[in-house]
Amino acid sequence: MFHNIPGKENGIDLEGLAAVGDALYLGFRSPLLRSGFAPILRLTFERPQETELSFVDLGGRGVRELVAVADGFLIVAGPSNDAPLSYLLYHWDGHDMIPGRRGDGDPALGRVLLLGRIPTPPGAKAEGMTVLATTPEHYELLIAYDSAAGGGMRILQAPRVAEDPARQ
Amino acid sequence: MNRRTRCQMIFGLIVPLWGLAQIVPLWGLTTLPSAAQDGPKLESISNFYVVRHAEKTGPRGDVPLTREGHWRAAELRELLRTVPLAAVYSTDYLRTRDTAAPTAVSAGLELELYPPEGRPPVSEWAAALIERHLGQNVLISSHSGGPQDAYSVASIVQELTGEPVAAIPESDYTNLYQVTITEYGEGEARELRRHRLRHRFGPLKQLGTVAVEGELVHERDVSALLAIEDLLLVGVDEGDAIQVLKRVDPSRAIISASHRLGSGKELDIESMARVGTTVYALGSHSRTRPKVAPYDLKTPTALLPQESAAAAGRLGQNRAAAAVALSLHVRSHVGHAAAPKGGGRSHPDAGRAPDSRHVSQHTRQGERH
Repeated sequence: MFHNIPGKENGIDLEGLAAVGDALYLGFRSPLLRSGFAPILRLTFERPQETELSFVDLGGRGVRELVAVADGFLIVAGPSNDAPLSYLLYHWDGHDMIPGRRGDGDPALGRVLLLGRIPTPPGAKAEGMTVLATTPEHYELLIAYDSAAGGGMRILQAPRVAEDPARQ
Repeated sequence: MNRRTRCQMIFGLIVPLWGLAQIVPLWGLTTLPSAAQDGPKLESISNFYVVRHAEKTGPRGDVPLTREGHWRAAELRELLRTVPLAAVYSTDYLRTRDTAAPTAVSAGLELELYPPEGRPPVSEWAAALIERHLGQNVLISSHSGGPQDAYSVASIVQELTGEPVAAIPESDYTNLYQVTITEYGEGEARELRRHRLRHRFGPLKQLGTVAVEGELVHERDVSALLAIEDLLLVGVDEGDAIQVLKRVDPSRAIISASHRLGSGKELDIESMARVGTTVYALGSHSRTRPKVAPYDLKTPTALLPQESAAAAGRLGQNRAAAAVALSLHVRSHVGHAAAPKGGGRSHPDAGRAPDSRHVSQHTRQGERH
């Protein structure tokens, strides 16, 4: 059974939790689908048994933190195993990203934008993130690191998503 | 809320057991991706990563990358390290080759130079690439400019997607496009579905640090953060405590309180989210992982009031419901509001001694926020 073992042993790892309205979103660090798509599970307080899975293309990384923002989510994407990979910050619009999964002409095909790399001290892992402030242009984020003294807390600035002009 | 008002924060606990029980029936990896019967097979999803070369040393000629440019090329390699690439294409210039080379070497690939002989229209070349690399991941190193500039990033992305693309200005080296193409349909009536992502790569700007004053327990295991006004909740993936810090200025936070969520068992807090005045903490994964003691709803601890224990026991038979149903109410003795706009609800125990920690535990099933 998958749920009895952690991801490193082919089970599952949940590392992100975000709330939007009356729904909770849980982000998977592992497993990844076809090495690329990270699952995100949505459920409501009302009907917690009725879950919905979305898949997010994080380029082979897993969800290490998930935070709801006004127009979607910020995702800290990091290694799904213990590989020494960098940690990246993505904005996700909340829609499933597997093309055609919901049939032809699905208008709500998801999108992620890479906002940048999260500077990470050697040996540390970016595991905690919270939004301190939001301006029209930027998010001001607080990041905490596993394996860093005092959480190694850093305040980082990330660009807010502007609609890609090419999509208009 | 009045800063002098003592108010409680309510922590909810998402017990690992429930969701996992729920996920399993869904988690048929072989059936999930093909959930849409008429949809594409995952194997047919192709990704084309199209990047402009990194910073160059001069305005014209076959100039090499700057130091920053080489650094950015290494960044690209890190970004794509987890992507199983099947091919790396570059134009025959130092700057485009050196931008793609670290990634190609890391993937064990030789650079393939383009445009092909005879320099066909970009549309023809792009169509051939799609045919050749169905279901594969490909990196293409190219140049700035607009869609009208043949073999620029914009022209390639436009031909791959069939949608208009904005020009990349001379000064912008941060863009990386990912074009995802899926084949679906049958036989000759094949259509392509496309979407595009625009990436910016490079490190996020650091504005400062926050030093913690006081003893942060398991300070090297911080794994979750949640800011609520000037409070900062810190979760660690050891033990079961959530520590409350108060930010006294932009660069300092002082430890104000610590709340244990469970029975002292290992919980491994991985993430926190807030709904109104309730904070939900996500415990870590699996039931049998030796270092994780599951929060067993069927054997509630002495901390639980008796009636709640009975309720939790009943709910324990339905783990999915229990997850949402069980929440621990922990009163913070931080002397000011942790509640969102509109005020938090007052807790019946709010007047008790400030050092009481687990003041109550109750069940809440289907409660909306």
